[in-house]
Amino acid sequence: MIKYQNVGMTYGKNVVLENIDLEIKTGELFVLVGPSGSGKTTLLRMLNQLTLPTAGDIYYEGKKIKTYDKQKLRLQMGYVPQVSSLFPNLNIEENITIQLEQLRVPKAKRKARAKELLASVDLEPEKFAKRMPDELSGGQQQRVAIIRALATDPKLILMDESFSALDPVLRRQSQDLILELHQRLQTTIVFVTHDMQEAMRLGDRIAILHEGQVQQIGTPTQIIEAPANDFVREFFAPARPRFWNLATVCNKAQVLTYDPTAAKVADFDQLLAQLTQQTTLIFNYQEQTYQLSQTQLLEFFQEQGGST
Amino acid sequence: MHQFLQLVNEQKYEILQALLQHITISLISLVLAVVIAIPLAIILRDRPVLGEGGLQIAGIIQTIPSLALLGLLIPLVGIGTLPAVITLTLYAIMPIYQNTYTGLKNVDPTLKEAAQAFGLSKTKQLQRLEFPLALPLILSGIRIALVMIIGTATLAAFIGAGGLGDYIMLGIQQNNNSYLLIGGILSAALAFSCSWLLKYLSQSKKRAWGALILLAILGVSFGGYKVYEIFQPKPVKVVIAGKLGSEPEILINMYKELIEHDDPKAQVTLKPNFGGTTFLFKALQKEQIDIYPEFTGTVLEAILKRTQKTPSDPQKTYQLAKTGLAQQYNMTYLKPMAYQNGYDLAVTKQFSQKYHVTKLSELARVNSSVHAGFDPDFSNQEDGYLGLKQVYGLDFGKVSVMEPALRYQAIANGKVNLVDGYTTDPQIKQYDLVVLEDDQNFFPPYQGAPLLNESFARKNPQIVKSLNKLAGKITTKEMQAMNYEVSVKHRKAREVAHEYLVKHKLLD
Repeated sequence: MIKYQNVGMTYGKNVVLENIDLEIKTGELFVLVGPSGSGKTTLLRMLNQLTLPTAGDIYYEGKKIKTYDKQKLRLQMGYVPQVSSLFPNLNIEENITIQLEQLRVPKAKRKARAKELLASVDLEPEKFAKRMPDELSGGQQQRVAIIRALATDPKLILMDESFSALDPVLRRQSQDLILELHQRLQTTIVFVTHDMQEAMRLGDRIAILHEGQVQQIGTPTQIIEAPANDFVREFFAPARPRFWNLATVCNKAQVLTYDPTAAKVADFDQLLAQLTQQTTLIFNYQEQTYQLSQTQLLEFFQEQGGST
Repeated sequence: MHQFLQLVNEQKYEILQALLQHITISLISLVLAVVIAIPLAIILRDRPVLGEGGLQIAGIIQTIPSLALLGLLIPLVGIGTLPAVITLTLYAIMPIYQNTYTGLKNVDPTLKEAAQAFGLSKTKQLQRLEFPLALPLILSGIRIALVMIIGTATLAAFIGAGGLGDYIMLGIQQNNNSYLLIGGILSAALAFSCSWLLKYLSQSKKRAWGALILLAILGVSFGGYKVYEIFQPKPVKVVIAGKLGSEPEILINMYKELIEHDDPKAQVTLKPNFGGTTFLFKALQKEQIDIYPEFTGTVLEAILKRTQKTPSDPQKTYQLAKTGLAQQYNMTYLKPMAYQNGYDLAVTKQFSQKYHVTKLSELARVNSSVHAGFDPDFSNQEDGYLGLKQVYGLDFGKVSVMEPALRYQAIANGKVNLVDGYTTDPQIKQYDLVVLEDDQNFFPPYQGAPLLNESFARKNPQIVKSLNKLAGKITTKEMQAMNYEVSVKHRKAREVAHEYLVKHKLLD
């Protein structure tokens, strides 16, 4: 669907991107990840012509992107910016259907579409359609920002650090919502993030960018199992210790009222050693009592991708 | 207080008219400023160099004193409502432009980029995002502009645009606090209530739309009326103006009644308290007014600017003025009235009786007992005290220089015992003063007569005939009495003028 061919970008002497070759397939949730300054946002902005490359070409559905009319191109795409960016002067319904309004879709149809979309993310249309953005919680605003990108039924959705400003709980919920919507709609999504855990969680495939160059493209498993170079290994290093981090496992465990008599466990090895002897273990970690079963531990491994 | 309320009651229609005039000038200027400033800010919002430049220029205009700006515009567009509206509009552009520009610039750039990324057109971005977000700031800019316009519009009276400033100017001129209060209170109240109204209207969309529609209807009907007016056959239209004060106002009311009496179809518009000599004369030259009463002495000194001494014979003075005006300015100076409105010296009745003084030549005897209160100009002019000293050998014991308006109060309160003044001043009657006879004819003669352009006089012989009925009429005593009625008793100039015309059978 999208093909970057030898794309480069320079601001004066400053090289932002160099020799980028990338292909994004239809229906894919493709993540561009990298530290700040790696050029990932610039790469995304080339898709809706907010930025024009100084070298190479980008093909969208077989045609060079620069041959498209800017405005028509953008109207075909959904866009979820960093922080929800709802227009504070428009109500929720108007916010959701702003692209349809530009496309001169009749008002009745727009209302119906807003209703449908609100319902799809568990926001009661009767209650929310006429509210103003500041009357919504952060999580609700985020959901509205996401369905706003779906209003035109776009073939492609661009997400630029969309969840970076959210707190961990909200971020997780938003990621779940995106995964669910992607599964349901099979829309192509290009997602930019600097958070490798988010990349691992969301990406069908991930492209890792560093200093304007693509370091590796692959599925999360491929990247963890066979990092292309030291940078990738380093960058994804935090993803590994997580499996051996007792605090992370404790998230999965059941919290009990503190019992000072329970066995003290200091690290992951001790936990494993004890769990091999009994099916359910009650233990103390950092002044807190937990209960964890072998089944829960296995579930934990499964969720984390099961690949090390 | 009682006097104030009485004045308000007597002049309620005039006050209402001034108020309406004030509102009209202010609103027109505001609408023009809005129509100019907002689109300008919208166009320049994406051109920072020009946009900031606009801010600078608007700021510079703001620093020009409004009176100076009004004055600067007179040679370009003349006097009256137009220069006032232009000046006020220029002033109002600044806050509206500044707030609109800042408001548009302050829209969160992430929102603007989002709008762009959604594929919204420039118009849509403006309509759905930038303008609504900047609106509160724009409205506050309009409010600032409105308050400023209403305040500054009081100055428009100085160039004959009318409005509440007329009352302030009259109050200063006549040292009448009631007039000052009327002008001051009303313009402040107007500014306050307009500001409140605008705030109230801007609180909901419904109210704002209602107000806009109302304004549009008013505008359209006003325009329609003007068009209708243009297609009506035109009767003779005459504009008569007068200088500041009660005397010119009485005179022009007489002119009006005389003209309308002889030609009932004539439409005479009066512009009392229109301005000073130069201003009125220029207005007459530009045919913005048709007639105004002028003094013979003033013509020679201020208009023809003769360097020789003005002759002491009134007849000679008039002839010189008449031929000078005709030759240099193509103007017709009709025959003067009887009264003399020149400088004089006046003393209290007690003083006159105690020292047996009724003539200026008798004053030198009592030089040391005199404590004079003089207008600053009079005290050091050759045709004032300096000249008097030489001709009559005067050298008063004590001379206090004070504001013209305060002199009569000073003599009434016994602070001084001699003042300079004009022969028709109503205070002479009010405080029972004795005007000392100028037995050596030192003071130049000042006789009032209608001044008009020759072309106008030729086209309207009937009007000339009507005006000439006043030639040789009205004595100094009669003028004094009429001035007393108007400026001390606060009667209407129109009534006082009418009574005189009836009494002297000039309407038969």
